[in-house]
Amino acid sequence: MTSDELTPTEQMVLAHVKSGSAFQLLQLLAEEDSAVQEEIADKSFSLGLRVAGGMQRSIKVVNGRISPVDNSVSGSGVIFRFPTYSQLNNLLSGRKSRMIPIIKTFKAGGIISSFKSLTSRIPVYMNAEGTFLEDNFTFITRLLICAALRGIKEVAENDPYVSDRVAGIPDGIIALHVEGCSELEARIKKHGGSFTVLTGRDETIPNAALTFNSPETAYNLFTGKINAVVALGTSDVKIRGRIPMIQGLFPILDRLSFYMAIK
Amino acid sequence: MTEEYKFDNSVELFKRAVEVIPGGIYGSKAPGFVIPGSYPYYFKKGKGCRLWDADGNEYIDYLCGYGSQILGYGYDEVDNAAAEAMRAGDLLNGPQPEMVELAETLTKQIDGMDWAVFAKNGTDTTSLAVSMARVHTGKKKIIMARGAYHGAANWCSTNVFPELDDRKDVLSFTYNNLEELCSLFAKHRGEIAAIILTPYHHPAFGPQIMPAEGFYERVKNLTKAEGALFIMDDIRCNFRLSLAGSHSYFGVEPDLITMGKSIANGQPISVLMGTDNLKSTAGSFFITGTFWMSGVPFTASLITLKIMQEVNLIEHLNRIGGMLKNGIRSAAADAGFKAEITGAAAIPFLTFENDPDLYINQVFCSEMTKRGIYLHPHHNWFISYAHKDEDIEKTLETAREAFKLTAAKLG
Repeated sequence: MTSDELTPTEQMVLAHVKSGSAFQLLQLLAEEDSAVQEEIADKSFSLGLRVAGGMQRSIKVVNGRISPVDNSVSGSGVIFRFPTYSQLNNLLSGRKSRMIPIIKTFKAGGIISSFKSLTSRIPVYMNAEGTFLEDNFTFITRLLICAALRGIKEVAENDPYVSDRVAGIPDGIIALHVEGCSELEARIKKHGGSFTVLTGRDETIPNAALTFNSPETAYNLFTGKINAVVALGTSDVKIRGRIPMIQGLFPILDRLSFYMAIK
Repeated sequence: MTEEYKFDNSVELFKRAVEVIPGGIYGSKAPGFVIPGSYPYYFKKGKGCRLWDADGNEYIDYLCGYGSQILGYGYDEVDNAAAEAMRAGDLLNGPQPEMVELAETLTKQIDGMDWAVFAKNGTDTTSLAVSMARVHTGKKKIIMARGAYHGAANWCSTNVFPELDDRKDVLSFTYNNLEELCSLFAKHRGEIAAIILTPYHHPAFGPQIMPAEGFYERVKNLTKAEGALFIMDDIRCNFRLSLAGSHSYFGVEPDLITMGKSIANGQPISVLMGTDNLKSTAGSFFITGTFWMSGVPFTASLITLKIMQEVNLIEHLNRIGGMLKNGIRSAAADAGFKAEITGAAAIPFLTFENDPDLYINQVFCSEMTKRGIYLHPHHNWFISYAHKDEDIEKTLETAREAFKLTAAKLG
């Protein structure tokens, strides 16, 4: 299925999922990827995405770090303004896209060039194979986990198809652990209708926990190489705590899979 | 130390199942409702209060087929009668005489009920009750307690899809919150067909809540003023509080009652009962299903109802359930835990102080199950007539070991 076949609402959700995940990944790549680090060294800029009458979000690059900013393009040196979500999706899928770059600084050319360079690093990791995958396995798994959590956040907050389900999920924090690999821990927090992705270790006890028995299990699950239902049944993935919170994620994950499969 | 059970056959069967059955095992029996790795998924046989899984592990069982086995698995007197009825021919062109006899028995036994229609599962009867309430009152809205389980139909289940709008006329309130309930009745005056309640609030994943003083009286006043019906969903508590119906235990007078699970000690049958003034509405409904008049469950139910009276079931369940509750509390305290056991003695549920997310419960119940005492970590337990003093003693002996292991695991 291609994004052209989606309804306008689905186009909107897809744009949130793709842009949210991409910005989340850029944030993490700035911590580990030398090419990204080199690209942003000594640079300070902000680039925004805005859809007419809809979403706006940006990334800020400062002091060698990349930070996603939701709901604001304030301070962006360049803003890509799209007439529709469909056009933003075209850009995010690497297709030809109609948009107007709003230039707010004379350094715009450099910002756009840097942005292209940064985003070109995402597929290097997400499509990694062979030695590169082996050498960067833990980090790639971390990227996959965080991208999935970000995708959950975007679907849960934006897709009316799951809004009744989301309303039924109790508030609290779900932690993702990988046995023997504390650097892979991540959390997602629900409060009312909002979700927040929290990366890194946290000692507070979450309300529910999803624990993978190995980094390989996490990698295989998030790349669709193993069946999530089987992984749960065989206890390769363990669930503990307030189980309805985790069960509440399943329909959101189903929708996320739908969006991730869009070409 | 007791040796831990393994569940290899269950896991292998589950892997095969996933290939051909969506989700492998669906609904409340899905692995995700227990603790995968610590629980069996498939079972081979049961006798009394004992259960054997697909790996041959033996358990003292406190789920009782989700409450249906009130006399115990394979109760000879019931099963022999059912087998004889089966051999005589089942599912004939029309109902067998036992259907009339069962309706007569139930209308005599269940307080305030004048008629009975039979189905298979709880969902059949709760859905029928809701439909009848709507037709009888000419109104659509139904009120239920938030978190209550009334079956797997779309109007009340977790199948929340935008395409299924069956829930749009279902309102919910926090159990025992009379202010919220009164507000619902006030806000939707002239629109409410019925309120459906379980005898007390027995949600999964949380403590069981008894009705507050004055709760039922207010429900009665509200429904009367609105011209709405009061449906009591007695599927789960059925015959574990009172043989005259759980409403009798609480001294309330519903218009419709649904029963099932234990009514035939595991044979598939459920019943919707009602008051005389609703008989013509019930009679106007086309009620049927290919297997709904199968004779065997009627026979099994008649025998089960008779035995429940003969053995003084309620007294037994209360005594044995009380033993279990007190023993678990005491064993927990010895290991430094403060256990709360809520719900009726025959339908208890365990939680721990300062453990709202059930982490302690999950470890403890897993340790028990891996050592041959099947305790569900998220759903209330059930006591049956087959549970005897020695089963409780064995259970408590294992509990003392499991609490020590739980304390060690949780640091």
